[in-house]
Amino acid sequence: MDVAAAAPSFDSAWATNLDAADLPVLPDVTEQVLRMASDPQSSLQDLAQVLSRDAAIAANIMRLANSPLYRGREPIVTLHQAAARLGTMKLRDVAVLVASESRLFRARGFEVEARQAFTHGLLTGLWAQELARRLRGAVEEAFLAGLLHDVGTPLLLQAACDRIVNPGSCRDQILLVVAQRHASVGADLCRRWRLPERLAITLLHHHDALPNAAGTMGETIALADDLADACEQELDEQALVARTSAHPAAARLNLYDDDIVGLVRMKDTLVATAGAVTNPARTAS
Amino acid sequence: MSAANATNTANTIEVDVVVIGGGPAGMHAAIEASRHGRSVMLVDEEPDVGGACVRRGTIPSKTLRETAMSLDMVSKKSAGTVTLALPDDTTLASLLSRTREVVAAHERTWGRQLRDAHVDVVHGRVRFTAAGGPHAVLVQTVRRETIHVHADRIVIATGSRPRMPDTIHVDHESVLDSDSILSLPWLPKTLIVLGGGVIATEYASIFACLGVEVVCIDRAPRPLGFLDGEIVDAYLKAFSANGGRFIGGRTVVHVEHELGSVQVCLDDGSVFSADKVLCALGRTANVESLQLGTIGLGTDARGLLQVDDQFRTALPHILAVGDVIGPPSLASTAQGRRAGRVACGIETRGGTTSSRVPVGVYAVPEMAAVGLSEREAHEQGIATVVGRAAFKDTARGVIAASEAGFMKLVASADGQRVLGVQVVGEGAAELVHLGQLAMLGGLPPRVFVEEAFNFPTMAEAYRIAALDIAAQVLRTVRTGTDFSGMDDDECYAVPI
Repeated sequence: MDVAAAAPSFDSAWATNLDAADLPVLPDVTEQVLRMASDPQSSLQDLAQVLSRDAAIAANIMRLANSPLYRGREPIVTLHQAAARLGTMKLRDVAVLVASESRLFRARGFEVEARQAFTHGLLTGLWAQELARRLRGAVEEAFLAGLLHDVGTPLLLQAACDRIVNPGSCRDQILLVVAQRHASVGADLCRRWRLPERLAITLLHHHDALPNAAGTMGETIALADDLADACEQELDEQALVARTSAHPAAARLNLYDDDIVGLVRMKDTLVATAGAVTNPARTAS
Repeated sequence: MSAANATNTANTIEVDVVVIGGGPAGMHAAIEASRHGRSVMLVDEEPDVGGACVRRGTIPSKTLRETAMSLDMVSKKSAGTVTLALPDDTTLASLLSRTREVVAAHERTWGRQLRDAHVDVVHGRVRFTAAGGPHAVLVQTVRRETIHVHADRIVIATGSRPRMPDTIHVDHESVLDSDSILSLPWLPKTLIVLGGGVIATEYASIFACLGVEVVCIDRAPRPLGFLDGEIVDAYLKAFSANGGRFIGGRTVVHVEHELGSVQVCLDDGSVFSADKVLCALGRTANVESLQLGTIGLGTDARGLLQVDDQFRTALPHILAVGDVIGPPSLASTAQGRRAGRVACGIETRGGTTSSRVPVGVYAVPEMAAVGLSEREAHEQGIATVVGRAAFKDTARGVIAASEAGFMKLVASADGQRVLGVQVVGEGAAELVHLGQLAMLGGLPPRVFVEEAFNFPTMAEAYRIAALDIAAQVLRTVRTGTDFSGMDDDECYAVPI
């Protein structure tokens, strides 16, 4: 959508010159988790110990480990057990997710949109990893890419709150600019957080079909994004199959109707998993 | 439709031959039928032809192998002066960066060959229907269009995929198969490979060469049971030198996630754990989506399509070739060509298998064989003489730092016919073809002594092995000693 055409008098400079100072740094715990996740010398026990220092991260890890997608026969009661169940990469992803939530999803006046971006990111991550599993792609990479695909959105909303006088008066214009710019701002943030370059490329291209170095991951995220949207609109399985089949990324990912029917059967499990993590009422002690 | 003579009635395309599957078998069947003047449609599920071997099997794993070998060879060829160690955070994608170009080049070549042969290529998924009958197929495209096709002959060449055992959950995240192993973001520190066949052996040795701590587990006592024992010994020695460990004669009871790693529990109570597990316990035919039951065609207990020596299924106008009929997988191309002729009403000879189909194992080190091994000849009651050549005795072998390799040239007891060749070492898969041609041409081993070959090349190994055969035959003639079963030292100890 052309923002300038939609709102010719609206100055969108606030969204185009975000510099390093505007991009939030990761909390110490998350920085440490990222380092340890790629350090073969670090043990899972060390990682669990670091995670236990951040109550928000620890709580989210416990919720995810006990969610429908990951729970085993016995409930998980310790952080160490949870870490064992989820594995190093998932711990890293949850730490990044919580950091994103605590630092980014606080834009005053846009709390609903910011909160929605957080829950939507988690559901997109879950769909992306299921898609990657079926496409024999990189499952771990897909989860993190889905999780963070819209991370530019709350960041831009925060910038709008900080830089525009009375942002509530030009709400629609702000949301249009956010829709247009969030992909590149998200990619910038990934680079600042020293996350893998392929992730930054995926985020940059998740709304276009341009060939890029991340291969089909951008299309995987685009389809997962739409599946998450459809779940939020509470479409039933039949409608979800029809909508997914019609999505342009489905053909580019070579997904036939049979494949989509199989994929969509995961809907209830994934929605329940996302709900278990993001719904405080279900927080494990 | 570009296919010659194809007709398009109201809602149905009529062709002489429809080939289902665009791997090596399907592609060659389509080209061969077209060459005989038939209108041919080839339907493949993927947007480009090539089959699983191009996108998920042979080509990506061989590209990774080349990278691993190049890193290893830097040290060997510089006599240890230069050593390269991969950083701990090496991404697998960075080691596979050439794969996309290799696959694209391969797909371009195959696409061009099909266009040149006027084969109409359709991107879609095929199924039979009870209403359509056994001469009709329904093609659903990925863009939700439906095409009805009627054909006189149908060739099923849909290939295979990794088998998922009931007791092991392959989640493609912690427990992977050969289709998903190369999508791992990072090189694991430790890897357990389940299986002892070609795919398991290739990946186990490639990852070991890249510095991953690998344990390979199989229920057979040794890997690659179909290969000559000495060749397998040489492989196990090299695998062990790279830090790999083979555990044979064990069955996996279950696989579970524990403490951030995967644990594999075996029938003897032992437990092994690793960052990731590769499950390479065979392959299964891709036939489910065809809905063969609707036309009364079934598979055997192994899920394979049964065919006669002309590749005809129980419905004679439907042929099947390649992995859907089982081993030998490497015969797909030859099978495809023959099935293409059968589809044109031309009887062919040769059966579904051939002892002259070479086997190549792209492990580290590379292994290859064609024809009879010493043991197989013995089991068939054929007297042989075996010529040996160590790569360390060839100039090229030493230059290429491939001294550990060797060749066994199996000849008839009179030394007049080449019966088989087994090779281990760099270039083995190429080298075996010379022996294969000698077998096909009925040439005696002495041809490798009498004819000139480029020097220095590994062809010198044939000359050395042929001279060994000649010497043994000469001694047998002079002394009457049966040299079969003796090693070199014992042979040379016999006075002439």
